[in-house]
Amino acid sequence: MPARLVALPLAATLLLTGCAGRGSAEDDAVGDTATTFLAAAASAPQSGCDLLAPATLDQLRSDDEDCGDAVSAAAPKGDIASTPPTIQVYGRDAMVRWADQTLFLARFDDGWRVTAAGCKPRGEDLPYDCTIEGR
Amino acid sequence: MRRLRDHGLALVFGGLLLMALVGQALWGLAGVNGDARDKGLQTIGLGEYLTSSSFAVDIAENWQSEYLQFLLFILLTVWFVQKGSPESKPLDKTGRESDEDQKVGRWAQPDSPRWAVVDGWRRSVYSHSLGLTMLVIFVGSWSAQFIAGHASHNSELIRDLKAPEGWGQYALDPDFWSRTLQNWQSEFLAVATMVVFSIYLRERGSPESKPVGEPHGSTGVEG
Repeated sequence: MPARLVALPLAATLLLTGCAGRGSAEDDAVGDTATTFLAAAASAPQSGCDLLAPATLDQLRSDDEDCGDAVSAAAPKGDIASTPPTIQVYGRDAMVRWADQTLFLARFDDGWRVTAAGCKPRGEDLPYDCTIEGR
Repeated sequence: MRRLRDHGLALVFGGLLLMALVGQALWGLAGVNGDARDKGLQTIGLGEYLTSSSFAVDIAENWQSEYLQFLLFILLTVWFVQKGSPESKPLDKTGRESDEDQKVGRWAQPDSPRWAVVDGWRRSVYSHSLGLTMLVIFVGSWSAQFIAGHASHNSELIRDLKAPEGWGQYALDPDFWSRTLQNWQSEFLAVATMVVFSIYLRERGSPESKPVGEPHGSTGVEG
């Protein structure tokens, strides 16, 4: 049947693409990077710089900001360990939300990197306001 | 060689489809990698692009509109006619027509499809198999557009430091409806112009045209 011939590849496409980048393994990797970054921001900010995306580091440099100071400023105010974050992953892009802290991440060949941190919502349909962000 | 000739139309269009898909894949990959470089993000390879929501939504949005076009054309030409158009059936033949006209049941020919001969659900299903198949593919590809479009749009939102949308929000999002309607309008335009242009214009030898000397007023006559 022609319908079956087309429907099967369509279903496979849906599984491959609609759900691409989703799932617990990817969520865990994103969550680990985000948690490690915020832990570094609170205790060893300079090491948090290693988890920033290249364009985000470039932006800090071009703004003459010290990376360690910027990462330290993005440290969470409360205890993030006790509340699991909301993790949303779509392809190579991800957002991780705690009650008072949101991070944006992107996947590179060597793992997930933080593209923006210290983000707070500004209103519906508006970009988040972040203390650290790339271009 | 004769087999090739007998199936030339399907083979040529199948070949054109493959070439267009290859072109779309390569240019689409160049596009997404250009965007990634602009934002300082990782570029991707062809394999990852072919399984990405970005590629899938671009494919599916065009597929769904093509199958909707054919579904509507197949169904609406049962009841609607167009005087002078070879795309229309004769003006006095509107509707589902008689069993005799449709060569089913006792009016079937010796070489008619078996399901056209037998009574019951098989003949009912076979009598609508073309429309049903187009409907299934249309619904499947529109659903694929929705699902892949949701993932692709949310990826772009995150890159713009915006919160991703849920399914309900995306069902009302301009991205979903502009992708859908920009394709629908072009398909409806193409069908309408084909129906009307073929009243007055000819392509010698094409079954989609009336014979060159056929009067403009002749309806349902193909070359």
